[in-house]
Amino acid sequence: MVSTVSNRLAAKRGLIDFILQRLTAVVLGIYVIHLTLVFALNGDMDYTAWRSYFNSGYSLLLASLTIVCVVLHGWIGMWTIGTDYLIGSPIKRAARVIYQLIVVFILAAYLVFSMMLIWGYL
Amino acid sequence: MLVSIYRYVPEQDEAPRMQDYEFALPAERDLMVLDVLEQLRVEDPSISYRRSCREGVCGSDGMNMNGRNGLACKTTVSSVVRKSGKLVLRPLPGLPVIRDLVVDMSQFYAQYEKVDPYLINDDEPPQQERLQSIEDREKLDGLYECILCACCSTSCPSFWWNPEKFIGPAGLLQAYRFLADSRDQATEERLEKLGDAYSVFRCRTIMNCVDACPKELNPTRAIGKIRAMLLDG
Repeated sequence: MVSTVSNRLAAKRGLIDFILQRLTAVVLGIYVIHLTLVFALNGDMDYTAWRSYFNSGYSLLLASLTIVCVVLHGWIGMWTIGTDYLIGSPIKRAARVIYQLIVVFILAAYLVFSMMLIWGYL
Repeated sequence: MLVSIYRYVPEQDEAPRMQDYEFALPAERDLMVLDVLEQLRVEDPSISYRRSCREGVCGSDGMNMNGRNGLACKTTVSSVVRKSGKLVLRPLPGLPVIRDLVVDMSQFYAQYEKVDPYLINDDEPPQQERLQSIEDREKLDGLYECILCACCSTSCPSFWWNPEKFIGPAGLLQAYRFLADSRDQATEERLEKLGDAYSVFRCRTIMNCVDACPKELNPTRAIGKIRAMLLDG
């Protein structure tokens, strides 16, 4: 059962990654434009305005979504790079495992600390 | 003109080497690269390369000429040598060398075979032929002309890196040739085989294949259409 599901997922992995990479890129683009506009339209933001913006519900949700998208986008891209360059010899394949562990660690740390930071747990 | 040719016989040589030959180009006309090789081979019969039709139909003499893949029989010396004054001939990149400019194409054909490059139609065959409308037939233009010379796939870094998993531009052009064929009934089965992380989606759209194709076909566009069909599916 589990192997059937994982086989089906593997058979669609390229398509899923392709869609996810583009959707997450769109979200990242929207967030960059949004943030640019916020700063451009409120040029003289003081600490109170800054804090009020980052504590508003929509800002927290949009920032959280963006962070999740950075992690997904980053993982797909870095996984692709690893499976392009670190292939073939046992040494290269071992290097890929280490490389992927480092990428997972960095992305997980980024996800946890960014979420804690914007939701006020740090 | 100086002609530098990749020489390697794996059973005899420790490592590949480049061997230089002096070649007197005729002033009155432009030769094809294959003409140069044929004349050099009279001097040195040990130079190995494939050739057959010498007019860009069989696809045998695909090789790397001054850094670009192409067919030696339809590439003029002047178009590759330009100001350098030197013609450098190497085998198609990324495939194992059998001898000098002759490469082992097994991996390339294995990928071609994966796409079931034949019409699948379970209906009773008509007495003469399966007819198509003019519009449906036109959809195959730019696809059926591929001669499997491997110039495109061996110019693709994704194929160099994952030759066992990425089908490569030549195979994918053929995959779309049958996906686009109105007489074929296996569209779903064909697409099911292409959704994984490697077969189609390793293409990074750098278009080396379009640049290399001696028949001026566009495998990148075919790959884009396969992706669109997968997204629609």
